[in-house]
Amino acid sequence: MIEFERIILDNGLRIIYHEDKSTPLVCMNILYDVGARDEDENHTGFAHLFEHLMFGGSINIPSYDEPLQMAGGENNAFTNNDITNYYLTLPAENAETAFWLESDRMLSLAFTTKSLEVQRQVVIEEFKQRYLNQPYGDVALLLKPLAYKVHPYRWNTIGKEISHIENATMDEVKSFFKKYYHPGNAIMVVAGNISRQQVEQWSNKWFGPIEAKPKAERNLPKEPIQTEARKQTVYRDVPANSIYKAWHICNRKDKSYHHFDLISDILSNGKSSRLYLSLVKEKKMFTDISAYVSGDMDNGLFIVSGKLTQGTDVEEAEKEIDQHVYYFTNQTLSENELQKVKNKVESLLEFSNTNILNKAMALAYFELLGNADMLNAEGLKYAQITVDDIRNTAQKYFKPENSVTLYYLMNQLKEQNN
Amino acid sequence: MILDRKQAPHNSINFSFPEIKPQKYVLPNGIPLYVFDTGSQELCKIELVFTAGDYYESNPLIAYATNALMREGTISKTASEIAEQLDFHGAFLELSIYNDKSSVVLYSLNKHLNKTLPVLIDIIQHANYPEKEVILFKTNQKQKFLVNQQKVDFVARNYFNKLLFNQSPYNQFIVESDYDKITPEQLQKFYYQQYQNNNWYIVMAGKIHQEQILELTQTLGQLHLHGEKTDVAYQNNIGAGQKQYIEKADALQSAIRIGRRLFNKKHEDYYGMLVLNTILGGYFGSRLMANIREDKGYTYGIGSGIVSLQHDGFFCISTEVGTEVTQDALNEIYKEIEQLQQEPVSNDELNLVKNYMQGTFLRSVDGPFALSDKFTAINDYGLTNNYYINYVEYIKQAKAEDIMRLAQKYLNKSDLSQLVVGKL
Repeated sequence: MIEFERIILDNGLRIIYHEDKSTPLVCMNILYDVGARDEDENHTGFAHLFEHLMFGGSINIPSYDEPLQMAGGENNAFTNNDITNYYLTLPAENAETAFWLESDRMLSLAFTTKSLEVQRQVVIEEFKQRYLNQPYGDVALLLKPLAYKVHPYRWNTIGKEISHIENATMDEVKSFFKKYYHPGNAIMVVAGNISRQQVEQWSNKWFGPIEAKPKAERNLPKEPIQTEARKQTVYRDVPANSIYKAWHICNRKDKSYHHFDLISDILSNGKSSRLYLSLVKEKKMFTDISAYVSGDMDNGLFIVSGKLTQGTDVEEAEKEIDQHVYYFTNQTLSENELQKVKNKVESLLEFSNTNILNKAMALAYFELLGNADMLNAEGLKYAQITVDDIRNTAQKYFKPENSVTLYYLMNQLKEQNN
Repeated sequence: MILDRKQAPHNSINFSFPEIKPQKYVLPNGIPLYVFDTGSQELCKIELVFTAGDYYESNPLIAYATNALMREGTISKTASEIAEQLDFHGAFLELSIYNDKSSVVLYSLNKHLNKTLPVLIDIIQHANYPEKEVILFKTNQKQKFLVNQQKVDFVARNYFNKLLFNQSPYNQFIVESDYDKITPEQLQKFYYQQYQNNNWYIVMAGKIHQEQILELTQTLGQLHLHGEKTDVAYQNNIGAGQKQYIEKADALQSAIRIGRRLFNKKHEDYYGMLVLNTILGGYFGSRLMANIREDKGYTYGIGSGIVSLQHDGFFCISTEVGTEVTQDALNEIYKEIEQLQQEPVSNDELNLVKNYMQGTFLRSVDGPFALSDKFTAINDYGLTNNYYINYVEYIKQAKAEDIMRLAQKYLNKSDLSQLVVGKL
């Protein structure tokens, strides 16, 4: 049980306070309700580029990192489809520095040309390092547009292409800030060795004067229901063939989300999981294989991906994946196997709550989902799932016409297949 | 009162650090057990540390495979039975291999410990390396290696290690055929020598109860193992300042490694080198990051680090940069090093680094698991909490002249080895 209190400032800033006296640290996590899904399709990668610019100095403080390091602190941030999340930890004695720094960059950035020019280059190198200069690095760049035709999940957080990052202008940067970076669009968690009174006082002092702005309305196009299986084959210079197969599923808030999470655990979490035992160990068709849920705020994907052993036929391998996934639609799981994955989830939740930063991030995310208290309800939600729930959910979503498949094959096969 | 947003709030730099002093028990068979009982949740981490690192192997990958395959079958249980028993009770087994040591860690909820601990005891006592499991491991790991061979960063790591440690026991250079050569007999032998002896220790962290300690006394404490730990004499005759270039025609980025052999944490200049390293490339605001990422935009990241080994140590800068700026990046890296040799660090920068390092140390001792990690890091060297007390004291009084002297002594270009994988 993670206890917390909620404080809401007049300008709309939501603050979640969690006390943990066992740590000498304070952690501040600020989640902005903006992600790659909010981008224009001709200016993708912008939310993430913007995250980099948040470290380029704010209106009154020329460097974000230096004063934080001076206070013994450390920070980082990430952007995904849905959110942009900034976090820092520092010694509890110096917690006010966090309020000072984060409030100034919520107030306004410095918007220097130098920062934009340099971060543009840095992000382009990040694009190369993570997506282009790696074997299988471009998988996500292929799979997303195959699965989504209308919804903005069709591009990745890094962007559709490098040119979008190259073309970003300062005017766009400024209007993006105005639209999304204000108190009403943020959730702030303060966790650690700090009193509620102190959190209230410093929040009012530093964040209180920031002007309220209207929250931008989000009208994203809904992805139409897919009615026909989609398939794509690409050839690359890689040492092993691989398959990526995805089914459209629900969003993170839907109760079916937890069912899919357990299904993915049954399939591939741990060395006693089904795909590992059957396809890696027994049939030796894959060298590794995993199943996972994308967990997005809008309707997401259930993905199975694996690398094939040499000599395994890719279509045979896909049939095996299908068999394991469709099992859940026509067979009933044993209580014992369901209990196993529930136990794993229970344990994982307990262990992740040993870390102050994990707790802060989770509280912010669940507050965005609707209520930070949902974090405490997670355990019970998993515990209550029945074998019938699993089958019903599987029947609803695991259908061939609802799937997309990417064959990512070795170049040598191209000549054979042509 | 008008809020002055330009003025930073007052900061303290007198942090109070916890002591890294576990409760020590000696089990009936002489094996030491160290306990950090500071957790608030009903769970624990049990780590067993063995002198079974890569250093002790006579063929590549043997130490790694012996460690990784320990859970893949014992005299009485198959790999699947072991996995099922752990998975069913939500436990996690972490098998890790390092240069000098290896570790076997069990993470378990306390309420399931009576089911999960027996698995841990079984695998460190009765692992039997079934042939089919060894074959599966070889096939799958080889494919992973082939995939990794396409990553400039992986190739750089593999070759740079060879550049510094060729013909010494720390050379872990791997080629594809090394996977084919692994045999169950080699693993069983290494297991007998390096794990089945009386030269290991246990660290428990979390919320620990007396009956758990009693349980360990009656189980792990009763093991009488008769293997003989092999000692390996250390030698390394490789010269400083090696250079190597591995071309990868289709690369979009080049991986760069620049570094040298150094010494371990018992050396008198070790603390000073940690400070120097932090200034040069050890944090986000470092000289290398400020110049090569934040000013030039050549890379997504650049950093440097110092690694302590039982018989040696090394310093290494690493980055991946756009191929068109590889040479420029190399020049800038050497420029930053030279500047540290020629000009003393300013007070502002030194103070910032001192505060940052103390804050980082505070973060690294937060919670029982972190404390246990900090403990094994000194216990392996026979050091005590004084090592950390002196570390913090050194940081507080570090002087710019000392940093410059160390840069002059240890970072001369002629002593640094350089490797580029990609395009020059």
